[in-house]
Amino acid sequence: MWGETSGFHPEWGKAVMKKKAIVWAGAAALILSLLAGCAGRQDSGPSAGTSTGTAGGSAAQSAAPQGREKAEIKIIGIGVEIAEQQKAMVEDYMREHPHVTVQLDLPHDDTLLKTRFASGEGPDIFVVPGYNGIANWLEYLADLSNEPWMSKVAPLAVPGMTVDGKKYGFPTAVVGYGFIYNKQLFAKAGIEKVPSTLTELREANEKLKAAGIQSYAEPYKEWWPLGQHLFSLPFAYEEDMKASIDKINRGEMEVKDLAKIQGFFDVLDMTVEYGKGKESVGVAYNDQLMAFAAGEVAMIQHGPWVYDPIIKINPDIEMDVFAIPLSDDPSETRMPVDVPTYYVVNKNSKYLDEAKKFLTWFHENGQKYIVGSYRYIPGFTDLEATPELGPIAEGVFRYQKENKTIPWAYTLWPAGSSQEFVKPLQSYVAGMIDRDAALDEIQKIWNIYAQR
Amino acid sequence: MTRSGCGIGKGLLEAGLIALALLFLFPFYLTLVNGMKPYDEMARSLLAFPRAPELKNFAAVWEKLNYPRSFLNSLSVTAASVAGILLASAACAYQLVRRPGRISSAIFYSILASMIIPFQTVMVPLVVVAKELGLVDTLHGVILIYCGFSLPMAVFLYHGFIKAIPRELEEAAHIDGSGTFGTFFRIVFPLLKPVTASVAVINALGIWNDFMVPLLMIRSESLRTIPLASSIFYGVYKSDWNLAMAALTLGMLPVVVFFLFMQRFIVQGIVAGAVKT
Amino acid sequence: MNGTKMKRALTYLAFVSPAAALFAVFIVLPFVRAFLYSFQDWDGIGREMAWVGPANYLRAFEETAFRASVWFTARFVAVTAVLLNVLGLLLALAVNVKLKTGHFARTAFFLPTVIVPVLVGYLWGFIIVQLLPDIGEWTGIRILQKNWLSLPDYAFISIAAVFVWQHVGYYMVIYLAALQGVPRDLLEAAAMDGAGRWGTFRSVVIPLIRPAVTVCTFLAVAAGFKSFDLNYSLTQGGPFGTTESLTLQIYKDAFQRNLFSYASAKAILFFAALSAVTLIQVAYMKRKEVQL
Repeated sequence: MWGETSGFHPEWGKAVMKKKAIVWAGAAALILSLLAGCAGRQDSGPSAGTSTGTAGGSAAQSAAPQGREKAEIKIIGIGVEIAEQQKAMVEDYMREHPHVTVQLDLPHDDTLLKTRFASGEGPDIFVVPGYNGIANWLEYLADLSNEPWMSKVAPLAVPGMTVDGKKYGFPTAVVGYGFIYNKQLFAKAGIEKVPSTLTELREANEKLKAAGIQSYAEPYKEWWPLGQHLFSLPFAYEEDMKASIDKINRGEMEVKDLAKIQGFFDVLDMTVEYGKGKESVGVAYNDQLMAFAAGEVAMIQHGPWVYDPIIKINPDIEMDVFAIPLSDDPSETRMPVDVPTYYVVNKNSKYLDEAKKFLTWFHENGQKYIVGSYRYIPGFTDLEATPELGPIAEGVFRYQKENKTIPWAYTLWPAGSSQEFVKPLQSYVAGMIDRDAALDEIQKIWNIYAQR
Repeated sequence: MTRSGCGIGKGLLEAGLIALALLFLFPFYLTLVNGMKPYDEMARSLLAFPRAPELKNFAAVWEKLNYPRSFLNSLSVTAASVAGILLASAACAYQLVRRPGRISSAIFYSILASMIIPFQTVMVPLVVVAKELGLVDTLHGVILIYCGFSLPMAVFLYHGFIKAIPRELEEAAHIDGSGTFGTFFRIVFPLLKPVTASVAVINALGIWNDFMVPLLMIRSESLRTIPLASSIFYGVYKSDWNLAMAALTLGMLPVVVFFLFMQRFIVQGIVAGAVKT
Repeated sequence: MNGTKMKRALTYLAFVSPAAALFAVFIVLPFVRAFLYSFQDWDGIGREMAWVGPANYLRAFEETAFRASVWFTARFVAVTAVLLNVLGLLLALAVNVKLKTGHFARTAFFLPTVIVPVLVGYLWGFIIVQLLPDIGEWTGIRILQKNWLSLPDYAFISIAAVFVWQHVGYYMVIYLAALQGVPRDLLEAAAMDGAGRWGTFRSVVIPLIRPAVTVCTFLAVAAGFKSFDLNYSLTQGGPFGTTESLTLQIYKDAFQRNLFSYASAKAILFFAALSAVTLIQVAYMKRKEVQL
């Protein structure tokens, strides 16, 4: 059927010869590449487990001082946004500590971390969210209460990593968020004072509208600006956030009973009404950033993490940030400032002491790395946030200094639920369900995840 | 055989085909063009041709990916996996077809059924198995996994096409004194060229571009394949899309060349096999 | 006689065992483990796992999100399997005609299969969200002016269309190989008998490419069911979960919602259903194939 019923045909024979040649060539190429692959593998042993190449590693190996046992620390760090900076820090560490090799992996989400642990290869140092993150991973965490830097941890960072009086975390950064605004556009619309109540926010939006400026382009296609950051606010504004959340977990209270929940919806409505309307559900994070950088949009709800991408696009933009109000009482309006994640140490690590020493070194050089290189507001009292961190970070720091802060709530939500709440909220934004229906959906989701 | 209007018909077809082809290629235009822009220019307009096309991104990407090393890794993994898949599945399918029976059916249908298993389901247990076999952080571990996972489809394809090869050919060879191995390699396998080419190309592409298996298996930087190394360009809060696109272009180039080369080979093989007395 | 039987058996073993061994170790073993996980209540992190019997399965049947994703996956598979095969065959036919642009077109249609999935999502996301509205304004077509990824029905169309764009080249290649395997003399014979283009196609070509149709349908169905990368990078399963394929949901359960065992249960259900569907389909089509 495949074109012939006769067998051995001279032309076919030629094809076979040609085929043979190609097969041999292919085999040769294969063997060559396999050899290359094998050669590569020989390089890769502990001596080249760095993230930027083999040179530093092999030099380190030959320079290992006598009597110092070689150690290898595996770190799953913070995301790829500061890949270069983390690699540079690790390289510096290895240069100063030639007997230690550090292998750095940068995650996109939890998959890598969970898979490594599941296959018995958990890293020595990794990063988890506060509160529930620490609780979820507790059985793997080393007690860091007596580390030299623990006394210098900023007070607001302590509760998130403390369980039964023991402390498990090294704060990565202090982060806050609010409405970042374009100062030039605000000036153009004649807004002189930054809004601190819902009414003032509406007035500001009206002024922007009158000046023909679009207020928002919120990326509600993504789950985290709406479902995590904005939705945290009504919880965070509670008098005793932890107590309220506990009550909801025990069924003594419902999400819709939160004092500021309607305020939350009011703000959400405004970001939609003065923004992209129902289509906000299709706007991506990148779209929003670029629109803001291009001066097409006056406000975005974010924190210092957007500073770098925006400045890269438009270095002339002038920005600042204000806290999102959920009521008409200006004294209540505060910015959520907290430490969202912590470095933690695997208590079953083969090189436990080395891992701890790594963190100690990291803190000692914190000003250089955490502030200078990563450009984060440090979670330590003996480190300072400098103006180079940018206007947004400065704004956050300002609220922190004035003590006008509230914690971040989402790390206390039931495990696994944080990406689920956004769905009913998106339906609400698209006008498919109303506030009550959305709250019912949210409560249902909460109940499911709280039960586990 | 000529028909009136055939010329016009062909002309229309050509035009239509070109239009569709350009439409298909449009995202590639975007990739190429944006790989040559600095970040701010890309942010302003994804569509526009770069004002001053620069190769800076490619240089940066070359360095960050350690391109020669990651290229070699991708190549070894892809080539070895494809070779393994072809040999193992063709051989297996051959015997499954030529020795039908309960065992063969059982094996065939189990293999068939496993084509459906999505990777995400077995991802974690797979890594556990790999660890227990000492395959983690090795290129040969990755190769074995790819072979295992791509086998079902290849076996399925070979199975179907081998069935259509008349037994007389093999019987003739047998009478001429050839053993099963000889018959298989000299007579049957060459006839499977079209399938082999398709299986090779499809798997080569899939494996070259695959990100998940290397992500789970590979730790050492020097063993990274191109997709794995490229993942540093896109994060949640910030993505260097212009660099990512430059990386993609660099990653794609070898594949495109490979496909172009294979195309001619496919055609040759088919034409050679189809010539009749 | 015994010697030959032994030899035959050994030959069989030699040919079949590499594939069988790989299959057993890398597919069967992990799958069995995943099956075992589905009867426990592991969250993916802790070291403790308790046996909970069929609890995960029962829970899956009750969960609206699960049913929603099943419904989405079913619709998605139906639409894309048909489109991929029909378009794949059409393109193969078009490219098979000896045109000057044949080579170029063939490469162009196949190229999308080469592109890394994450970037497919980003590029097409840009095209759909930014470009379509521009085209809509230019042509005055109102529906194009909306953001398609924000509307459930149009998000569905978008993701199906991009999926087809990405994979049709693959099917075109298989159909092309099949078409070029149709013996020239049969075609000529039919032409000489007076059959027109369509007649030849129907009575000569289609029956002879039946194996390819079976194969391609099977592959397309499996590919549609397993769709993950696009849902992940183009729509993130949205808007509000309406394009969350089964595999995406399983992944999220396992790695984001800390419901690893639950995800395994869903995966097993998914596998069982899909096996049934495809085995029926293959058996049916194999029976209709031309036996030569």
